[in-house]
Amino acid sequence: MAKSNGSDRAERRTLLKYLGVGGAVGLAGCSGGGDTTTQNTNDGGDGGTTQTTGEGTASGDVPRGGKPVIGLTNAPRGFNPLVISDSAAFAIMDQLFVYPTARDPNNPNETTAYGFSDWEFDPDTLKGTAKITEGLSWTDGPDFTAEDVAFTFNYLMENEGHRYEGNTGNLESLEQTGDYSIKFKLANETAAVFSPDTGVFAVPILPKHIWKDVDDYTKYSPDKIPGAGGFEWTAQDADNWYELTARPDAFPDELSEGPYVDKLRFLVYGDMTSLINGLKNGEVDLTYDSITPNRAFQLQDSDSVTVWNSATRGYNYIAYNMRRVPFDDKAFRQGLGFVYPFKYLVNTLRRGLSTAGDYAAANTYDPWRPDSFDEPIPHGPYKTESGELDVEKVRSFLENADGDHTYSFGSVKSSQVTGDKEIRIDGELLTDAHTDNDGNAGQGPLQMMMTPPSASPVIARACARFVENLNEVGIPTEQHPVAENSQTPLVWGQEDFDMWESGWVYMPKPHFYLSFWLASNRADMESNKEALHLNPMGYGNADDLIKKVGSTYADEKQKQYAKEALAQIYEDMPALITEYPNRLHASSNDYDGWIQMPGGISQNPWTYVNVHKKQ
Amino acid sequence: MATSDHSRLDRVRDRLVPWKIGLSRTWGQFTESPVGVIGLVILAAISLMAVFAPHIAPHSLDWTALPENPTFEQAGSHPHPPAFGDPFFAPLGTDSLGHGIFTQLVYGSRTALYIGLAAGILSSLVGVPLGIISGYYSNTWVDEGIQRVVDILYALPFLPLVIVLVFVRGMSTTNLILAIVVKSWLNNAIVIRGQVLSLSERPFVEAARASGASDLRIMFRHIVPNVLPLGFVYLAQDAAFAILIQASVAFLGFSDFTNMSWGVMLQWIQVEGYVYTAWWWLVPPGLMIALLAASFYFVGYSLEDVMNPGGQS
Amino acid sequence: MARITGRYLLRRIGISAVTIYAIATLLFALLHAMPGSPVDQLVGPSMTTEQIQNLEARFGLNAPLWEQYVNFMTNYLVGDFGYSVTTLEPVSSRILDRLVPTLILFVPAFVLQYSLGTILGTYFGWNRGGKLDLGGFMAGLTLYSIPFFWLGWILIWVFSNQLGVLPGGHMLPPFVTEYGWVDGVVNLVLHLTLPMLALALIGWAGPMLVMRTTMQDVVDADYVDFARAQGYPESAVMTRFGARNALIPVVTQAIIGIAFMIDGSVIVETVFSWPGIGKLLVDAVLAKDLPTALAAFFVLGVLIVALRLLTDIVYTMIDPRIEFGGTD
Repeated sequence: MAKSNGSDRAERRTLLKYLGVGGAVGLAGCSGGGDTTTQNTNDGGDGGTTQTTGEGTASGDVPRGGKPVIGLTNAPRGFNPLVISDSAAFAIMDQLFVYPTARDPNNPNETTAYGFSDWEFDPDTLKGTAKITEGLSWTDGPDFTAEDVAFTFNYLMENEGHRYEGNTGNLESLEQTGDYSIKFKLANETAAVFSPDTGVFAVPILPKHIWKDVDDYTKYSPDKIPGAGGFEWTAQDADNWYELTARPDAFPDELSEGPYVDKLRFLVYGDMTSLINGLKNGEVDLTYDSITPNRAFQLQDSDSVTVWNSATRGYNYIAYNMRRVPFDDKAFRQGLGFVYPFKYLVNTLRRGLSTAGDYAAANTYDPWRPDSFDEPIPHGPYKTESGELDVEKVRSFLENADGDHTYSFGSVKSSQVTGDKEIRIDGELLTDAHTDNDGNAGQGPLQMMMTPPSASPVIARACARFVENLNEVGIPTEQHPVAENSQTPLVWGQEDFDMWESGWVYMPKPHFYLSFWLASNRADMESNKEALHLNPMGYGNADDLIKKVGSTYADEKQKQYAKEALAQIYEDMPALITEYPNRLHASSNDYDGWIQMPGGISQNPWTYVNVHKKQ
Repeated sequence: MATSDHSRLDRVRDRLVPWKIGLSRTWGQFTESPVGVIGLVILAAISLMAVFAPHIAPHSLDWTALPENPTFEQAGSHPHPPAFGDPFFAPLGTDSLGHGIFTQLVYGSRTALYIGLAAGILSSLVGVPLGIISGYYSNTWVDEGIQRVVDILYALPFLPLVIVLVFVRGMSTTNLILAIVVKSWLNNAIVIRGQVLSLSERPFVEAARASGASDLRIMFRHIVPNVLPLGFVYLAQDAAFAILIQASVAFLGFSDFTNMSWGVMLQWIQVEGYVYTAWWWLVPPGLMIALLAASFYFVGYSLEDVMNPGGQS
Repeated sequence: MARITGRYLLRRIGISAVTIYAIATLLFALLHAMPGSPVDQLVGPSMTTEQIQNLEARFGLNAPLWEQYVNFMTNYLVGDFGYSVTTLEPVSSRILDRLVPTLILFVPAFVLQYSLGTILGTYFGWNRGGKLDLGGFMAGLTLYSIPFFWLGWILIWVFSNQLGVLPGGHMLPPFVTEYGWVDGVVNLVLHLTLPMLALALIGWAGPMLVMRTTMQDVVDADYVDFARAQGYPESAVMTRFGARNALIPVVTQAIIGIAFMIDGSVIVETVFSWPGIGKLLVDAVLAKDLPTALAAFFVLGVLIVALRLLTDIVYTMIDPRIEFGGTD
């Protein structure tokens, strides 16, 4: 496993001192609160820990009051959770809706109670039961009971085409067995039953008394919603600002003694520049979306702002279209790993706030990642020691590779190439040998499909450097910027791409998601269907291993299979995992108690329930 | 035979005469106003900057003030305010990756001039002939047809239309120029048509028609020279407008960022977040855009200005 | 006054109607040519292929294009703009909601630009060639060339960041649901100042140029000499006799100018976080919310066609050649 070398680590430690860690009270009312170590969630360990630093104070001393403002860069599009998917809408909806389970802030890889107070599941019979947390109530009156839970899941099962179809698709039946208890049966086995985000039950519970009248959910667009969480809807100026009021008395103490603030406010800005401006002016207390390293560095000099540096749960990658020559050859794909500018990306562009990538699982999920490049199967490493381009090394790797094609380097013929030699594939120029999905040759230089810098400046620059490196080695390549919203039909629909940069932000544990995009049942292998497929590479070599991972429940065995699958995937290199970029957020120093988890501080409900004015 | 050669040459010269008249008339009127001359001087200066960019710029576009393995402190000192030799030479400072602002400014002039002139010339090439045809054959179905096309395109807002077109066709400089021309030619056509309409009622045109000259000949020999000055006016305006639109499109994030241009410089400062903290990066590109667009406007408007009172000779 | 015949009017309205129909068709074709669909952003990694296809069916994206076109046309004839694909609200109410803030900003800016521009244009045109004229002319053109968003940033930097006297964005201070009259107006004006300043500084040159040009025409006119001979003071000659007649082209330009504020509004609304229709339009295009994007473009198109029709009629009616008996 690629560990950062000494100097990188030292630089990063200096960073940490810079990027202050505000004093925060441990999660009041939760077991095991108040951890006093200043630990960066980046340093591996047991899957990452929560950073709740500072003195642990007795829960009675938490100051109440305050109206923190959260800055958004997009207006929420609507508040129908079955239909809307933008992060701004969920920023608000997550404080209103209750989910059955949530991540445990003290142990983020574990699941903790929220809407369900207890649960069990038998993988052999596929039957299970759950107890509903008592003491929750809807803001417009009725209690939150198993009736709402049963209604929600049956409603979701009866309707098609909503965003939770993937979660509830596996439910065969669910019934209420009491005021606060339900039982259910699954159709197929799965490891993700109760886990947040991806589990069968990772669904917001809808209020039965409202939704029973909604016949066609696709036409339902409420302006405001009753909630059962720690906050209730108060006021809004559509597309401009939204306000929620805290209801600590309606939130059971065993979940949390909060919320401690009076109100929670959301303010929409035209762009990130004005939002950061607002943060410096004191108009805003938290950035909801992650900010770029440059902005983080500028903010750290400000006395009124703290920058939070959290590990990520996801990763960025470059997908290769394995239907096309030369990407059909494993050796070629492996060779590209020596060309990618890892060091430039991590050190210069990310200012050290990232880690070079290797496995399709973030560093946070260390227990599931292979321990070294030799175990459990030898795989690579396919990158240079320093992370910088080494032209000779790449060329000799390709020339000596025993792949489906033979590679050699000769005189330069293509205008894109800046180096002293150009590659030949089976004796032909790449521009001639390069095929499309149907096998027609002569497709010209390779195309690196990328998002323009307005959306992701760092990645745009990294891709530009990658293209430069490729041309330096002798592999003619061009940049192909495509607007973010236009990429999906091209890549997931028509599979019309050579290389495509993308990333996943919130990935759950490896055994849950490897099948999402790395198994052949998610691929349109012949590329003859218009429907969207999440495995645009056309990769299927790890199918058996991925299946084993997804159907094993025993903890240790599961981790072992995950290691094997990840090692195999690395060896096959259907996509180059480029980095695990840290998630950076900024908050004003007026408030404390932000809960930092892998993925950032703004995207878990505990943050808002625990935040309070600084003492 | 000697005589036939002579007459062929004469004929060629004859054909060129209307153009010569038109051009010299335009130049004569133009130099009457100091505004136009100032505009031309600025334009010439920027053109020189574009042509001789590699000699004027202190570094190449790839140059960066950061060493091979920058330390954390070194990387953190960029964007750097202007430095004149110690520790590096960057008269207008650097951007966040250490590239020289002045270098980018100089090379950016190429893209700006290219876009301005290409959009201006293309708009004129489309708009002027259509305007002439439309005005000459006014009130026939030809005229009505062209008018309707103009009406339809006129009703679409410029910037959103450019965004849609860039989406459909992809984000390259060529596509941007084409998207601009789609709307830009309209003004040319409308105005030229108007002038042709009033010209068509003049005695010399009536006389030419009476003497049996073909339509094409009339348009060429009599109409074109009189329309040229106005054509230039609108070419200049189109060029200025194209430059400003490119900056807006870059601001919104839809421009071709692989070519360095002033608009792209402003886009980078925006996405990197240094708008309010790096004035040496913020101010120069904006000033240059304004200067170039202003020079086109000066040239164009001064022409129109001079043409005006009793301008139609 | 020139007489407008009923036939003329009918013909012009007929042409406008055909134009509007053609615009609608062009917009439909253009927006459908954009790659992508609103489904793209709803797709989550855990969805199976059938689930994704269900999503597409739900949005009616599977219907053949001609069928969608027919539906589109019939709905628009009765003014039914449909429902936004992203927010599920009726499109017409969304557009109306966002149109108001745009008007609040642009109407005063517009008035400011045109008053300033017209007055200055009058002076410059009257004193053609003088130092004031040349200086003002060049200053106006230079300001006209400044990119709006850049000027916006500079203004925000100076007044909001450094001096801290004016707010740097938004329409009103947030989180207050009701404002007393005085309070509301005062706050609105404060928030309006910077964007309006930016718009006016750049835009005043437009009307100035037109006014200046037409004043130059008027300066030598017979009736002006006549008025001078009659003993009116120079300033009165300039304003009562000169400017009044020179105003006509400016007015007709202004009518059209109203429609073009949409172009500028996209930029303003991004820089100043102003919740207007320009941003709505661009966001709808980006999110592939075709109903909203189509409707917004269409409404603007109709507005422009209507305004041009109005301009044509007004211009024909008050053609000065006929008014003052002179032939050209």
